[in-house]
Amino acid sequence: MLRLASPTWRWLCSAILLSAFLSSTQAQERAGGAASADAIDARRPEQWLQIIQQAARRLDYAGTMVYQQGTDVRMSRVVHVFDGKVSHERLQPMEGRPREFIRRADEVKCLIPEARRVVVERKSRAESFPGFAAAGTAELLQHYSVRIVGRERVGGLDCQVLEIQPHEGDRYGYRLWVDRASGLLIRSQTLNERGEALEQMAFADLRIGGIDRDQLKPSWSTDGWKVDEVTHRPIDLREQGWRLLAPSGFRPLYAVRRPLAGGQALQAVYSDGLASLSVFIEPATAAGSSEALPQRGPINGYVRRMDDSIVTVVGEVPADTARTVAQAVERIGR
Amino acid sequence: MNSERSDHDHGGTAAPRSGGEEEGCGQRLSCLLDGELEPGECRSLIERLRSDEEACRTWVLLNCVGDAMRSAEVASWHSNGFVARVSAALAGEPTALAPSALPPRSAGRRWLLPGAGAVAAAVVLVAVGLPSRQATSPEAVAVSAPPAATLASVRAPVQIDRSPKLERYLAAHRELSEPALMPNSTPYVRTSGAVLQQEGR
Repeated sequence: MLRLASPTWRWLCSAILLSAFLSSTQAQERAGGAASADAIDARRPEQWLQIIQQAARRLDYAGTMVYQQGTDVRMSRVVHVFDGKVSHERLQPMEGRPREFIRRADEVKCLIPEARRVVVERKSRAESFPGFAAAGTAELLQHYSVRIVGRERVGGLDCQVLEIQPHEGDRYGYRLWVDRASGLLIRSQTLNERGEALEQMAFADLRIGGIDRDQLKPSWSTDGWKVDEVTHRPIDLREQGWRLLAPSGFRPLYAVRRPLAGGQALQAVYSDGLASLSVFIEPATAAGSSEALPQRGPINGYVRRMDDSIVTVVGEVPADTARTVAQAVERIGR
Repeated sequence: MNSERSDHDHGGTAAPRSGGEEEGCGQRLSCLLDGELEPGECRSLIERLRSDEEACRTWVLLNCVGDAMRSAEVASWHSNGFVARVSAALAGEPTALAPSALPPRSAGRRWLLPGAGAVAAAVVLVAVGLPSRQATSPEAVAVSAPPAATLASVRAPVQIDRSPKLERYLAAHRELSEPALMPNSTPYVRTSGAVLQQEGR
């Protein structure tokens, strides 16, 4: 079981308990009508997953998200508003240099005030990959089992606790605390094969419903700032002469050519509905050996040298999975 | 103490060019290394290290020479890849939430830690001396962190190493990954502001 050894984290937990509040009636209305306690009790684990997905996209909420990985604790303000069509989000990291991320649907603006720069990242799904929506829950259940493990009060909210266990050791497990009233995920932990939490995210100061859209406005006027667009050009990996093999259940989301560290790289992104991984292919500029990148929380990476190319796999997957994916990359005849 | 001083003096005269101005610079760098400069002078010299490639090389050389005189082990820090390997070991420090739940570290690992901290500091010094050809790149913003940098920004300059680094790929991965259950921008919570320096690409 997880022991909360860090004093910082214990303090944060107290802060969450003290400061969280909720306008639950509003939240329930937005989530599609207030469900009776019996109806909530009767929900199956996979239904909970759908409810969590819906709530994260459809509800209006604002709060402080606490992220912890090892001794590293970061807090960010999050504001989320759904306008009936697309979701809008503003994220303000509270540590380090001032930054803000303003998201509207698939476009994220990263504000860098000291450089007076806006970096625009736009996701555009490759047309050559039709219908690659995020994996549905049914598909997810082929690789994970989900069960309800209890009911706990977190941040003053009555939460259902779910555990998601992978069938194989090639991916991580998760423990989730879901607000029973709104369906919003209040706390989430990524677990290794021994059940130890590798990282944790939790809401503090959460307010659901009644969010003023003004809260989505950035702290700075960006008039006259330099705007850089990160352009991703959709590509067909096979046409580029590459064959990739992701672990079972991981579906391709994107395959693009993109700028990376001064050069150009191919990037393919895969997701199994919970975890995602990226495969980068770049021309090799210097000799070197294949090696694992240092693990950070649940994130692992592996760099593989292939003749005149470097293949790098990075994602929220165990180290062995990252290596296996990198080693499965194949050059095909052009 | 005296022997150390002479190491640096030796390094100063061994600087690539021995023009009067250059030699004065070597002397002053040597004094900087010994902590003998006034704060104002330190600042101006560090400023110079940012833009003067020659002074930067002298600075690295001074450090190498001094370290070599002291011990071969310490000098090996200057070998290619060593700093990167130690930085990697540092970044790979305990990841579980409850450190007490981790298996005990081996004696060898424990021994490494104090040295690793020192290397992180050394990397910062080298990073400060980056020549100005990077001044227009977004990374330069991270490099210009004030001396009283926090641990987080201390690690950022390590990215100047040209070998592939998790950080760079992580930022690119984050852009296109889609959290299924949490708000969409949660991948941005994972990465620090320093990572954003990479975004210019």
